[in-house]
Amino acid sequence: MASTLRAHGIRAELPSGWEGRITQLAPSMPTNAALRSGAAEIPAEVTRPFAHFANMALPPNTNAFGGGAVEHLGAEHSLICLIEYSEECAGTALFNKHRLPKKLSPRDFNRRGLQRIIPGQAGSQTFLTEAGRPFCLYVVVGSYRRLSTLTRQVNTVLRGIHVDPVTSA
Amino acid sequence: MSESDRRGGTKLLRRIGDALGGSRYSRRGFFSRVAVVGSALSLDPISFATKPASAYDAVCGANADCGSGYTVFCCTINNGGNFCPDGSFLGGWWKADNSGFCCGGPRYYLDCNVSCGTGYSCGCETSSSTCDNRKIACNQFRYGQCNLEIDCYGPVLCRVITCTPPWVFDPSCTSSSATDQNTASHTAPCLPGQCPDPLTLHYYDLGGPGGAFGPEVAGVQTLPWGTWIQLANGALFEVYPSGFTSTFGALYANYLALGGPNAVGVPFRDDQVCVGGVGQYNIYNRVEGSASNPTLSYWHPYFGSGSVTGATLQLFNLQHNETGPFGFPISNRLHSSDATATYTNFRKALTGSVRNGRIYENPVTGTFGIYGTIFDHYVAQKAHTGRLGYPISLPTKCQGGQGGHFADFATIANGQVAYESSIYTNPTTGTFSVIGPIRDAWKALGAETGALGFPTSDQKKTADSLAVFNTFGTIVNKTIASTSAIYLRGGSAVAIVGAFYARWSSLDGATGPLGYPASDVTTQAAGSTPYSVQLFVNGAIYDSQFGSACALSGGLYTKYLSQGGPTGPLGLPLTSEVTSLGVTSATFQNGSLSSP
Repeated sequence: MASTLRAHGIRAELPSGWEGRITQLAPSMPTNAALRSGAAEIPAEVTRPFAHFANMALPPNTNAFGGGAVEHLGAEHSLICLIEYSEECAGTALFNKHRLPKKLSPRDFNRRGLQRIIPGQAGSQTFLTEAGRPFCLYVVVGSYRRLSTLTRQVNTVLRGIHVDPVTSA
Repeated sequence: MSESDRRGGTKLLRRIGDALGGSRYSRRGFFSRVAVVGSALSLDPISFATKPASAYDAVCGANADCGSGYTVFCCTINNGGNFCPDGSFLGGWWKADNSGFCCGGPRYYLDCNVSCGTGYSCGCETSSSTCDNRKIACNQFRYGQCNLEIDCYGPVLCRVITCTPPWVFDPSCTSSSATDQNTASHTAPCLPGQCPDPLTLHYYDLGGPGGAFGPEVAGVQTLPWGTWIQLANGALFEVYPSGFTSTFGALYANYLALGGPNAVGVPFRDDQVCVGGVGQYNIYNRVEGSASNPTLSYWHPYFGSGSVTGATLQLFNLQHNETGPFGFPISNRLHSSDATATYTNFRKALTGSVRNGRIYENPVTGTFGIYGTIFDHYVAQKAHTGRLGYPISLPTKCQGGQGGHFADFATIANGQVAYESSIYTNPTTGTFSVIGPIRDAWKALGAETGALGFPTSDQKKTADSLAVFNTFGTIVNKTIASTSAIYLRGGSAVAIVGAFYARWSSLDGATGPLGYPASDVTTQAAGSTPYSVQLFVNGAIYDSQFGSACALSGGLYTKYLSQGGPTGPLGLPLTSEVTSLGVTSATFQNGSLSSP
């Protein structure tokens, strides 16, 4: 049974068997030691929402790029990470691709295209600006051998992801 | 330290680091293996002692083998350098919160992605001298917060570590956060251990032992103004309230030569590039600002190092520092051989040449400096050990519109000025000194604007060594128009000017029939007729409307005086004496005389 997930200006229509989570962490501050550099004031880090969609149970503390989850991917599983960046990234050379991909090809995946290389897995990474908001789409599939099947499943989810122009509070 | 300062400093360090690339030391080998065990005990003493893991596991944290899928730390593959190797760039970062490595704050991992077109291939660090055997240039992945203008990238070559927020560490990084607690224990023997002091963290931010500053020479030491750490190629400081500062390379070497922090204090900022981009400087002090006794130290690529402090620094400041006439200091403070004064040498680059100079500090004569041809002449005359003594003025423009400069000097005896001298330089007459009584007599006659003009010789001895003298020349249309001289004999200085000097010189001067001058020129009158006369030991020269510079000497002069001289019946001479066939004669207004 399909379900809809919505938060922080990101909406996802998830097919049956998929679950998701949209998270925004609170900023953390550097230590006093790191701040003692002579700078009068160091601006805080900027946190933006990130979304995870997977056809498995998402571990509770999955990191933005899937750390903590990819270790549990089975051969039939995929993990989609959509990470938003701060506004200053929008439109730069790295984020100059406009529109969130609705369809990935198996050729977009690479067995070394992973934040952490785990044998059997493959990853695909795309930086983009959608609705004026900069994102990185990072997809990990559990089995390179089943790439065609897994890519079709991923594309089903991608077609259901929508980004609003303004991040909701 | 401002953002632009930091950015400039980073670029400078990179340039210097490149230049010093050959000096980076290798951590590989026996000693590093010994160090791994020591590090394991200090980092994680409980787990190392009780768990069935190797020392390498405890030092390098989880997932340290190649099969774990993570990337190696840069210092492991970069000769100890905690920075991106050539052919890679900062591609992004993530953090692990609550890290013991950063005293409970976030620890930042900065990925160095391979630059497109660079020939790195995927592999593993396999050296037995480190436990950081993670992947090299395998993970085709990017975090994406740094160098956003670069959209073409290769795999992650290695990881740089810092406790400093990446957007402060490198201005190309944004503060857009990413977190991965799975990497919180990852580390390497070439990285600092648990919660180092801030200065050590800063040291590793600048590359650590493999960076431009090189390995530690002495660990972090406490100073009254903060802390400092001595490194092979420089020193880092944490001073209050400036924060982190440094001095590097030749400036650092000179800082040590000056005595280091206990002698001159600490730098309150990083080394600065001089105006015009050539050379560097830093200011060392015990208190930020000029309230204490700052030392301004310079390095010039061709002139070397030097520094100024105290009254010399004040004068140097007034003279616009290295952009002024003195240029760069090329020595530290030196002491005169009699230990009564100090001096500092300077050099300034001119088009196609250099100009040397020196500033003296003397408790009697004060703080003054000279440079250029005046300085060169001063040195040729044995500088402060010679007859001129110490400068008591800066080079000053001459009066009278003929160009040139001069500087005054004074010798010291019994703690007081004994006599003064000058060096004058003029493109027409040259560079010469005038000393003591001769200078006084010349000054009394108007110096360079008077009848004698500029000196055209140094002070010389006469052939019989009974007197000393200088010659002088007036300038018309950039040529010497007339010459004169001042002779000093028996403590009395007498000038022989213009036509009188010309006549006297034509008669062989002091060795001729007239002998040494015995008086200055005086103007007198014979009745209603004015005339000038200068007396010599053996005669006189008369100048009037009837005869120009007429010389009389010996028996003829005695006979002339015995007959009343100019006011006698003969009147004023019409000619100089002439000797023919053993008879000397001269004609006068009203007759003639012969001798014998």
